[in-house]
Amino acid sequence: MTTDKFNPKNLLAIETSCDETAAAVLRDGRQLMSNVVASQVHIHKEYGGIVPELASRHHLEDIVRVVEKALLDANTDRSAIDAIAVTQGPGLVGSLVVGLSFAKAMAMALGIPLTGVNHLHAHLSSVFLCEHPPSFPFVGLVVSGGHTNLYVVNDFLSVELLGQTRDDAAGEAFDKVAKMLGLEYPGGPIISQLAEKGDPCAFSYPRAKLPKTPLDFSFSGLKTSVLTSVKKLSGQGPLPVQDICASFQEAVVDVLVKKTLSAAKKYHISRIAVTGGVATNSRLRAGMAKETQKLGYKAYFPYPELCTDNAAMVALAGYHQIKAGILAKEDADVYSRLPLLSI
Amino acid sequence: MFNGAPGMIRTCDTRIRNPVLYPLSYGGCKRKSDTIVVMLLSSSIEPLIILDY
Repeated sequence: MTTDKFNPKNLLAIETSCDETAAAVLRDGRQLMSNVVASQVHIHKEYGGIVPELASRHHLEDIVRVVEKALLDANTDRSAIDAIAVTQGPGLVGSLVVGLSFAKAMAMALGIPLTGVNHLHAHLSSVFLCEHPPSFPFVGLVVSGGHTNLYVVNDFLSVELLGQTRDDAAGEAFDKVAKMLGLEYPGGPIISQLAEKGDPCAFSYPRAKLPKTPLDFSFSGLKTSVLTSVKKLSGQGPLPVQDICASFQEAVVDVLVKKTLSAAKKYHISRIAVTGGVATNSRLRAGMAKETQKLGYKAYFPYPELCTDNAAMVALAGYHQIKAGILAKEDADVYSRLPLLSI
Repeated sequence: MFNGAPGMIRTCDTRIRNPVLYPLSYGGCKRKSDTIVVMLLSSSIEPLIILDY
């Protein structure tokens, strides 16, 4: 819905798309005053993955105190908030409902505008939460446990999808390989840690090329290849876990870097932003920085703390939507699948 | 004239109703007090980040 344009002074943002309850306050569209995240990772760890029902119930328990803390940290209160942004999808429906219902009720009670933000758009916006952000246009890679998407970002509200994963997201592949190796959830940090001591050339894992849609990704073949090597090596002494982790990580990073650079070359764009939880991976950061430098391009990453789900990125995306008059209606709903094809 | 059982609701016995209908709500684990993580520490007035765009 588009209505009158409005420039919010104090915007409250709420993010509950997965297993993190988060709130942030953005002042004048430029000053991030607070950023609070309540993580549920210790709850889901024992199940080896996120249990949606548990996630939504814990969002319910956490949301009031998370929002109150965000207001307190920003040295403000509800009466000073003049707009709200909330994640509307994609994500876990039960989790999204908690955030959207809370935001709708608060907006209605305070009589202030509400905007619904696409979680992927928020991740792309997170690159502006770094010291020297890119100018437009740039190629944006969103790489996390739920998404692996490539975009051209022309403006805050102008985004075009170039490619996406056909099966698993890169972060999901990390989690699944960690499970195969008997490692803890979440898999990304522990695989990255073990990979540092392993040989990235020990195993030759496949890189999906997809000639018909060369900017799409696929990680299922890589995952199966790791499983095959684990099965083959089982019973032949201790598994070379560090070498498997290093070789697997190298294959993922290789594909992410090559396809992103290929998009940058195709569209003649020299700025590349890497966002999402997997953007905290040090090998990906180093690999992308090295390869972009070779071509005279530049890679941009948000602060590692702001790569994973947070409300600061929702605030930034929401601020520009509200400024453009894009507001949510009273009957706004949540969406488990909300493709960000273009804005 | 009345509908249902007089003077009570159909699931008035909470001892039965709660565990059956809301097993996780009432049987969930206790929360740790340290689950809120402030990602970047803030002072009360200064912004955490001033965006440069």
